[in-house]
Amino acid sequence: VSDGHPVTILIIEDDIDVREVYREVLEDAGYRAVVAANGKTALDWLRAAPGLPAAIVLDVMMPVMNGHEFRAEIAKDEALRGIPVIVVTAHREETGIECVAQLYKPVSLDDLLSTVARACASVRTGGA
Amino acid sequence: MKAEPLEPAGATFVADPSETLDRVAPTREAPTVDILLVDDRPEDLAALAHVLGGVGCQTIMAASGAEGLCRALEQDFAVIVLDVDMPGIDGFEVAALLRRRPRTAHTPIIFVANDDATAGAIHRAYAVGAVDLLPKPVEPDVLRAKVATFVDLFRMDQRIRQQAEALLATERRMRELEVAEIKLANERRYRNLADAIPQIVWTAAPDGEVTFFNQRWVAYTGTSLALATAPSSWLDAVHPDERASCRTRWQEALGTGDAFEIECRLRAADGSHRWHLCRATPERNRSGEIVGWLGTHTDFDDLARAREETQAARRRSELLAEASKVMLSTLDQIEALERLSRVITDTLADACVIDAIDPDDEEAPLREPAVAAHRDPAKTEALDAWWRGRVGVRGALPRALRDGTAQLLRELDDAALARLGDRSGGRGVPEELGLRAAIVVPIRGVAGTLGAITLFASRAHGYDLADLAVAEDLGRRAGAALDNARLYARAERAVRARDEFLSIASHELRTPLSALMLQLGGLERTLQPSEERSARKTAAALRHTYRLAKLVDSLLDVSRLAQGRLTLNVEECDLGDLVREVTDRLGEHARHAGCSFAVVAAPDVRGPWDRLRVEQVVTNLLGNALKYGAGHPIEIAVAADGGFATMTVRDHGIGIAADDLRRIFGRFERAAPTRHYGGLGLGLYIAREIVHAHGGTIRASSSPGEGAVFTVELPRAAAPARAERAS
Repeated sequence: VSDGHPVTILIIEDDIDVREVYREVLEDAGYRAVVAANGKTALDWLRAAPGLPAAIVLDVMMPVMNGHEFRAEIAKDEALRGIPVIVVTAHREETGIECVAQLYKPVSLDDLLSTVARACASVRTGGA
Repeated sequence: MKAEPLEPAGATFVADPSETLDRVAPTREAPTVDILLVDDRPEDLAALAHVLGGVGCQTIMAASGAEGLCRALEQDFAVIVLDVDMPGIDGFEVAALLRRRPRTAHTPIIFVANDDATAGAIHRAYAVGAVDLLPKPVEPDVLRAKVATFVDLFRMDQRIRQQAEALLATERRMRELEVAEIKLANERRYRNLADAIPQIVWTAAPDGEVTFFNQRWVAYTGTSLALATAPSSWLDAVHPDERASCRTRWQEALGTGDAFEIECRLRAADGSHRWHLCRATPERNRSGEIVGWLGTHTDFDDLARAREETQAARRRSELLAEASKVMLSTLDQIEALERLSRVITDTLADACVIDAIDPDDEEAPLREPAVAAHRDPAKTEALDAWWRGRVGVRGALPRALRDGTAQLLRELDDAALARLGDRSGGRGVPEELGLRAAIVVPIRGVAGTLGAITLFASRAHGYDLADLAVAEDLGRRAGAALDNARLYARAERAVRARDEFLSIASHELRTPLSALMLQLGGLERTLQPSEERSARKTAAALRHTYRLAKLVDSLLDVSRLAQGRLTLNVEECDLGDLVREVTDRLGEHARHAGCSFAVVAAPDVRGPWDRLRVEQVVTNLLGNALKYGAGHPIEIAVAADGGFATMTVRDHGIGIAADDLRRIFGRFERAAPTRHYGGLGLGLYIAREIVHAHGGTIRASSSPGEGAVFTVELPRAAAPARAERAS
């Protein structure tokens, strides 16, 4: 995807099938995928990880820590708040979660990849 | 001169005066006959008296004309002997004066005149009414004979007069007797008549004191006639409730003399009371004074009862109609019962409690009471507390609840209270609340007893069987209303449950759909150009997945629309561009269906709309056209028309029957038979809801076999009033 180093995408999704499909299609597209079953696990990983992901694909309804709570937590963290978040929801309404894009289930591969690519690009152009 | 007493004489005169008196005039004395002699010369006067001494009369003498006139005015004379030549008033003048007076107008006058009386004097004498003129010196026999004739005439005249008087007196007496008899007969007829008619008849003196009662009164009241005529005793028979007003009105009538009329109940011999119309009219004499009163009492009890029955029946049916009306005006069970309780306490009861069972409420099926109401609102709370505080549910209420038996508790004594389930003992609270009689009726619904209504009256024996029947009817109506409300609540719950299920199901379906779609997408990308067959199959699988996703979307949209949760993300859109995007996307689909799209769009038809939702409308309409108009071209036109943007979609398919046009926009509706055309029947419903949410309209026109035209109008400026409906 970019200059030899794979770009990391953090996937937070409680449904294991969906989670693994995300990982597969993103890895097929050349990304490095890190997966978490809920917001809490993802937050722990983020705080311990040596490098930050280029974007986060976030499910809304999850056990332990849901999408809303996770987004609120990283917003409090200076280091994490700049990471672009893509919200994926089964509902058709606005979730109200601060994000760069919102995708509605079922998500097509084209939509997922183009949205992730735009999110990564926004960081690179906006963050540089 | 003093006259000598005369002997009775003359054959014409009755010999025995006493006999005569007895026969003709028993109360009068024998008449004496007097003769008046008038002469200025005493010797002549004496001679006349002497001559007439033998005719059996008394002679009265006057020495001048003036004295003669005086005597003649004092008494009646059989004859007057009058001297012509007298100083002062002469004989002619005296005679003329005597003729003018009624008493003496017809008294015979015999003149005596000097021998030298002229023929003129004689004429004059007859002219003034003399019967004779005798020359002086008077021939005694002639004078005596003439006077005797007039005396006899006088006596006969007197006898005739007395007989006439006697006759008159007899006639008068007989007439009086006749009148008395007639009066008596009248009185008898009057009483017979009074006794013959079915009414009570009485008469009263001007002061109101009763003077007569007919037999009907005696028979009705069972009183003896002697007692019946005690003063004003008809008032004593009047029912105590009406007696005071009766007495007042009767006294008023006696005072004013106006006719009296009142309706009152009269006590019969057996102690019962019957309604009577009481009337009394004054009887007046010729000068208008009241001489008495004639009164009647007419029994109209049967009529009154029929009238009461009719009124009661009308009140009952009005009450039942009102109860039904107020209960059916709400679909909330408790609200319906509260309204019913208000109607009941306005009419049939002083207080009422309604216990209700809601079989659908598993946690608290029995509400005891569901509603309590007292005519005096200040007592409602105490009534509610007393009912709640009863020890358990026993007696009449559970009986009503269990076997649907109605109860009439005529008096709320301890036993009755126990039957109501009040084991607290003591009648304190019910007494304070003024509850003295009760009715308990079940509320029966289709599936069984739904509760009970307990009505309270503030009077012991305040309820009868008629009231019980009304209350039972109320119970049935309340049952119908509760059934209605419960069925509605059930239907509402079912609809809500369905919508919730649709919402949850579609959410749950989306997650695996997402995985499937991504997986297929990934697979499609990894295929090599040589694997054409697999690529075709993967593409088909993806298409099916998209279709599945659309169906799930429709289900979710329906539940969202049903719950009024559709939100619009409004932005400026161009309707022509939007239509072209959809036709492009459906191009392949159209080719498969053998259709072609012909779009005629005016430039710049823009408005503030939710792009995705309007696309959904266009997609649904085109999808519909492809489905029912397969094999024919489809024409789409976009234009601006005043404040609205208009889009028409015309197909040339099977068309829609007139009856179906009205319902095709309903949920799960379709005009075409299901076995030929698939789909959930939601497309047009969703399209209509979206268009309405934008403040627009959608309509269809068609004839079977000639295709259909759908027209959508969307406002070109924001119409918040209609859009709010969806938020």
